[in-house]
Amino acid sequence: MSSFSAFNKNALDVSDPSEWQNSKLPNLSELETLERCYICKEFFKAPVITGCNHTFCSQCIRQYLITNNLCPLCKSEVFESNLKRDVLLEEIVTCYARIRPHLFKLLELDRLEPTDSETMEIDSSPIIIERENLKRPADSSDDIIEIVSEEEIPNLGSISSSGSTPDPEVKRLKLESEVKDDPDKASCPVCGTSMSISFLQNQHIEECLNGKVTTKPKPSTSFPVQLSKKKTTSKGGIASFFRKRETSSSSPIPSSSPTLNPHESLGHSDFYFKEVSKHSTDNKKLPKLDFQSLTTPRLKEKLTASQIPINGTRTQLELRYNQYYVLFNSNLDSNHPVSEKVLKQRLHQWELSHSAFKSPSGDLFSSGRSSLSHKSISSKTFSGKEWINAYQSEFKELVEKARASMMVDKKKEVAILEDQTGDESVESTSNDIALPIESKAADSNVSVPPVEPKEDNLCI
Amino acid sequence: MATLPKRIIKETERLVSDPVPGITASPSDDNLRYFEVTIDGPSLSPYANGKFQLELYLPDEYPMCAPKVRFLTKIYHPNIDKLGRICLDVLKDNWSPALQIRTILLSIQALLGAPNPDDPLANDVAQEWKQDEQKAISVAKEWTEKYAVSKD
Repeated sequence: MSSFSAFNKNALDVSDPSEWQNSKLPNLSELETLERCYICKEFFKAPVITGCNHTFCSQCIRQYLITNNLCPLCKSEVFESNLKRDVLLEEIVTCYARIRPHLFKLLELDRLEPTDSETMEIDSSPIIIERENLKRPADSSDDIIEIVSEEEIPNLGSISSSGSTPDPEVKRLKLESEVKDDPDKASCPVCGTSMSISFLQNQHIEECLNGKVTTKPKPSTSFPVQLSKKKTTSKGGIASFFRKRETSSSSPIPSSSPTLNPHESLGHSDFYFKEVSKHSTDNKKLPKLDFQSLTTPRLKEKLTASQIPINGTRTQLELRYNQYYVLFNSNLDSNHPVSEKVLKQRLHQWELSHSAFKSPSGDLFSSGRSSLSHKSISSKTFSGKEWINAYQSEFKELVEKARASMMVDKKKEVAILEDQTGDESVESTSNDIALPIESKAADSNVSVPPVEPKEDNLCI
Repeated sequence: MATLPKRIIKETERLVSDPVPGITASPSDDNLRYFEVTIDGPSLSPYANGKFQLELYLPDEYPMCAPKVRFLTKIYHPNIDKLGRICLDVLKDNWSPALQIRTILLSIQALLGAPNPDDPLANDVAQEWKQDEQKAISVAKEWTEKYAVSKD
């Protein structure tokens, strides 16, 4: 259960188009669905377009094309060499993704009905703040989320959002101002006239912004919405409407959040219109290797040429090359590529989460044992009893190893937490990631993952 | 150090917070790629009233390859063999990364409602199914009663 609650906290970082369904503009979920990759369901990262005119994250489609050759969307044949990067779309999507948390606040909170608004405001605002703050570090670290133990979570929060924990004072003020407000009335942010909310929302605001002399508000109580009661003198149209809410003292956005100023350029249009030299595609991509025609020493030469580790079994070498090949080539499709050093860190991180790299027993099923090899499970003549008999002792052994290593891990975690405080313990986990692969292999005997026994169960 | 792609987190979150009617899926405590699943037999099928246990594992390559799913509860079905393995196109050749855990489990539920003896996995069952469908259906009901209906 503990891992699952940690999981829930991490999940705060995960946004989904369906969240717009409860906003003032549910159609945004459609826009957002289109801005997300069909494969990973995240916002496009380095989008590329296929020969059949479908768009995916470069990394997703390249990974997919290692084992398949059909478009995931339309099933027509796709050649990796035909993938073209889409510079404009990447800028559009990153721009939108940066604006999204703000847009979400503007469109979601307004919708709350006054009866629950006090409690809802308090419940929802910190969540959104966390989500926004967590977003940044996660974006920079590929799209893998670390499942940290519960105890580490507060630290994670504290590094990513130093000083931006929701200020209780601000919340209290906000609460008070809302309690005083007549729940059914609000003032127009443009002309300042007070009127019923549904009227304001449905009719008045549009007319007011268009400069029409407004019709008299009719008394109505249906579907009230919270709006700031503050009178404004500015008549700057729709932009001032947003700015007012953004900067008002009772704004749900905490002052510390590194907010975007609506007038400040985010740099996305500059990149598209001015830095045209960065839009070319003549970068050298890594070649796809035909492993069957390569001897292991030749393969190691290729790995060395790309300066990636050459330890491990043949299967591991092949997996590692392919992963680096995908990381490297998709990085070239990005408008804002990272350094090779970062790519190598990501490669290492990927190995840590891949079961084929977990322990020597990980290859148990992929190599040797021709009579009862891993593949035979899928054949119709497969005998479950024989399999169980052959592997029973190993299953037990693995389960025990896994239990033991879980205990060891838990103890280690506790020790780390006791030794260090706050940010330091988080730092230590990130150092872990940067460890060279050799040392990982050296202590891999200890860390038999709990994955194996489960996977075995599945195969019986 | 467990790392989990965002997509899996998102899918799990939705499965738990917004479950499909008649289907439950919850991740294992010690391995978030391993799910314990139950599927209710469709009401107009011989599997009605049954609660079937399955296990689902997301391989490292997911979503580039299909999840591995297997029945744990014994079931009499031409496309499910005695080890619980399932013959379903979307779990094999027709897998697409656009599919997800949710859609796969729905497909399996649909397979319970529409057995296909012409593309069998359990040859003996398929044979009996083709020869005498009424009898096969009654056996399926019997098995459901025996293995899949909880008797508290």
